[in-house]
Amino acid sequence: MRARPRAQLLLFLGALAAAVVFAFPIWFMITSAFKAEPEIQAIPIHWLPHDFQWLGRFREAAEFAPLWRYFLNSTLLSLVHVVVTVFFGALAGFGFAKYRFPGRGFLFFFVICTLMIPFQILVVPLFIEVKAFGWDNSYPGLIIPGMMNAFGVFMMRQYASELPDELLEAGRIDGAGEFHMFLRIVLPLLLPALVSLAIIVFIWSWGAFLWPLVIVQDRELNVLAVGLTNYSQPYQHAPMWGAAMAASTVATIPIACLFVFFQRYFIKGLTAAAVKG
Amino acid sequence: MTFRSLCRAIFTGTAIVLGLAAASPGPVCAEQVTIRMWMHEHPPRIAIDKAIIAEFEKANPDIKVDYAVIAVSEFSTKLLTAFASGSGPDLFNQSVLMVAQYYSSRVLAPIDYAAMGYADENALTSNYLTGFDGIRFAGKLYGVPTEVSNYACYLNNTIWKIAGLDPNRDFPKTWEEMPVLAEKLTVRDANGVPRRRGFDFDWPSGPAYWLTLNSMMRQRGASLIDEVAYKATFDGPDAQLVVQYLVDWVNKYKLGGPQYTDTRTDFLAGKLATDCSFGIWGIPQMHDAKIDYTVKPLPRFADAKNDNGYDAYAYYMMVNARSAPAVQKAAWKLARLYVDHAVELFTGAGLFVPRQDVMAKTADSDSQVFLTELKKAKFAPRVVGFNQVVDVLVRGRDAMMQGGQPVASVLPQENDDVNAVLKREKARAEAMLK
Amino acid sequence: MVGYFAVFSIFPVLFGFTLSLTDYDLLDPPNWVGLDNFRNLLADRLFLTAFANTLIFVAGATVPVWVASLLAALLFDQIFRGRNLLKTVFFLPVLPPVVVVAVVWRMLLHPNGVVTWLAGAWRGVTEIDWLSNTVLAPLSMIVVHDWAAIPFFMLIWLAGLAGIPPELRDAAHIDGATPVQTFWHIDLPQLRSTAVLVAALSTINAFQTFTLQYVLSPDPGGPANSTLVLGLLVLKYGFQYFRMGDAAAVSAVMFAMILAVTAAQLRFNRRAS
Repeated sequence: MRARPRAQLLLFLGALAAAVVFAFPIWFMITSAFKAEPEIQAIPIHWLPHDFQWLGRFREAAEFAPLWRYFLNSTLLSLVHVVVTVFFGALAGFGFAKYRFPGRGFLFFFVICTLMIPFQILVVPLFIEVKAFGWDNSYPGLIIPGMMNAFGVFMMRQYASELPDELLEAGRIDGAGEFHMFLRIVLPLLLPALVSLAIIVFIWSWGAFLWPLVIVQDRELNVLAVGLTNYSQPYQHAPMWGAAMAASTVATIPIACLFVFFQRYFIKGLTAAAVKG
Repeated sequence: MTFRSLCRAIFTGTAIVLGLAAASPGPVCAEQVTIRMWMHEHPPRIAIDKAIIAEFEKANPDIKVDYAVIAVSEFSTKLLTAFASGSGPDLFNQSVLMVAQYYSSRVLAPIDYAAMGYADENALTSNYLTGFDGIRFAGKLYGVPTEVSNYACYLNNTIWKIAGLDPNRDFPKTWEEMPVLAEKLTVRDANGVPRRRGFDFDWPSGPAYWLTLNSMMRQRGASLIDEVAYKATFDGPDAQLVVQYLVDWVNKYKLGGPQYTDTRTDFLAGKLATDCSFGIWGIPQMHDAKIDYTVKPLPRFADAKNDNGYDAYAYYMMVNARSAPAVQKAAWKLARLYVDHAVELFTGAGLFVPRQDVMAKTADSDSQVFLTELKKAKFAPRVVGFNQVVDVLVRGRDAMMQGGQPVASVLPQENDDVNAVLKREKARAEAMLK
Repeated sequence: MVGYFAVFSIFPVLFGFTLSLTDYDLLDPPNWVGLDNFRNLLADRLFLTAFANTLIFVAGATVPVWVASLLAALLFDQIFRGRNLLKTVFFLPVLPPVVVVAVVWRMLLHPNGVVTWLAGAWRGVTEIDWLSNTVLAPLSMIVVHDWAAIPFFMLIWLAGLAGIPPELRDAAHIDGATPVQTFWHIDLPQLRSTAVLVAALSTINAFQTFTLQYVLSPDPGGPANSTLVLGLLVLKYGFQYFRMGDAAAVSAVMFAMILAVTAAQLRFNRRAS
């Protein structure tokens, strides 16, 4: 509903104020990544760097702690989680939606229950269990628990159940096997939903903090989320805010990219995740 | 292949992989004995460690050493989780603050003098001025010290002189005079907020706060905890006095507080005039940071009953009582060689142990201040559940300093809370013994 | 796949419940104590403090967020020049991971830092202990959390608003209703399930908060435990004090509370539809 011109101005000003206030910390984070260290906490605030540092802070961050290693580990973790969740989510979601088999309802309920479990209750027993496997402080221990997220199953079942049965029948008539039909017909149809799912799983895994904190001890294995704290709370060292802001910016870029290039899917993924609650 | 059989295949495959991972056998048993040795991360010392190990392996071809370095902040956690899964190290180096816990769970093996090459306890301890009290339980020793340390005060000469003070003459001998002196060295902004402190306590560190409280209490002839009775004993007037002094430091005189940067960082950066949270190992750090310093003993209370500075703390090399007997013997042998390299560890890594040979290297006046203080120092009480106890003390401190609650009401509550922790740990230790 | 969930989700939960009935410190084998851990929790000052702090945080993280995000959604639902750009800018706080949010705000909330300057310079105040003061610390946690939550929930509200059939609004417009009347009588009833969703989601999320308190506070738990929340307490009991049984007991309590909220939401939804 188009507002009246005078109201337009008011709305614009209100929105501007809100946007400025809320975006300020992000602005500050990015500009600080390019400031000289003393400038960052300078009072009165330097809105823009007076002494543009190019990649100085980033280099500092990479020297103080294995920044790129952290980035790599986070990427590895997130990609594995995305691939596994999306693949199995599509498979299982489709299976639950379109096939009748004994125990279907019960199994689905069983899988969905895992969604309700808050991570805190899993931390201690999961830690002891993973340690028993001999996986503590290792890549399997870091990546495998949590790599399959039942949310994928839930979301894909929603979308798969909306697929018209006639299309599937048509695929079967061609004589190709079930799996073939799945690849050729179902997956392409589900693609938009899969992209949204991939994005939301990526965001969740990218920001994972508690599990890596508990299971990883070697610096080389750690993820970006935990590694960030090396800059803000270094051991017996003053906080390195410039490096921290540089690392924070690095940590935000992948998600920002997803947002910029896949905005529709991004938003759809977030709302879908919310609705599951 | 049908869709469902594919699902089944994937599921079975995953289960097999998981099963294999869980059931995978450990390393193949070797004829020889292997010692798993865990040390803290301390770069100057690591090279020396490796040299000692090489020497040991050469002299003992049937013994291999599996050496691992672990970050300081994770050492305790990693040790505990390793012990939990039965894969704890055979030889490890840990701080006296944690040993009560290991002892109470019977993880520590008493010293095997024969394996070490000593006739008896005296043959070992007679080399040392002090340092064993921290690892003595029920009359037996459970480790050898690799570092013994006590804090004293470092003064930044440059800052002192600019303020018109003489570090040698003007440093107070009593706590009562400290606030006045610290004020002269404090630079404040227009609102009275200290921008550069004259002297402050190392608040952010739990262990430092623990040592501070214990030391000041001991000066007054009182103690924080009765180690034998396993009770907290700081609900008396001495404790009130000590804590009130600390609270006044922050709230009344506004000379510092937990909200500021920790004192070690600030002192090394030249932003603090005086700091008493470094040991003798601080000397090389001062040289690196190019600080022109003077060392002075800790102030005492004017009406102190005991003449002591900071309580001592130490790191001990200990052997895992749950390891195979042959491995334990080998570990003690390695421990002997290790501590015999004490001089090298001191000159190369700054780790001081009060042994005859090391003390011969400390004739300079600065080191003498530490040694004199060390002779008067005792170890702080050792408690199981150290983390919990320190947490109670720190939270209580915050409530008084940041929350403005009066000492008279917070301190008894703290005392009760610590007693609850100690009681719990004691009950659990007893339950284990059954 | 079912096997995976069995191993990594269901088994740990059951194991966790079992743990909560033991006393286990990692060094010695677990010792069965039955419901003692739970009984002790009721008298445990740390637990009670954490419980109270969590409730306070949840209150501060749900009510203001619910209202503010609704207002923001209403604002950005209107059509005006520059709306999309401003909406995107407003949405930025959602992008960084929670850790980044905590680290950035940790810097901004330095006692002599940026926010102090913005809040106090005109009054001549140079130091505000946002994170070390026992009253300001929990408040800061709430504000930072809300800062990131409001734009996120705005999105949910917008989706809900988009679902309102335009004919209803047009009809009201023709009948001469003012915007406020339209909102009250048309929009709000249509938004009922969204409203419940936002409330439930923000509550469950706030109950489990952990990373923010852990990273934002210089000393997790905050001054005098003022920012110690249940999520942090699990970590404290499990990995600082090594009292695994107690850690499991606390997380069992958390689980129960979250189940309760979820159940309430389901009932609400059923009555609404």
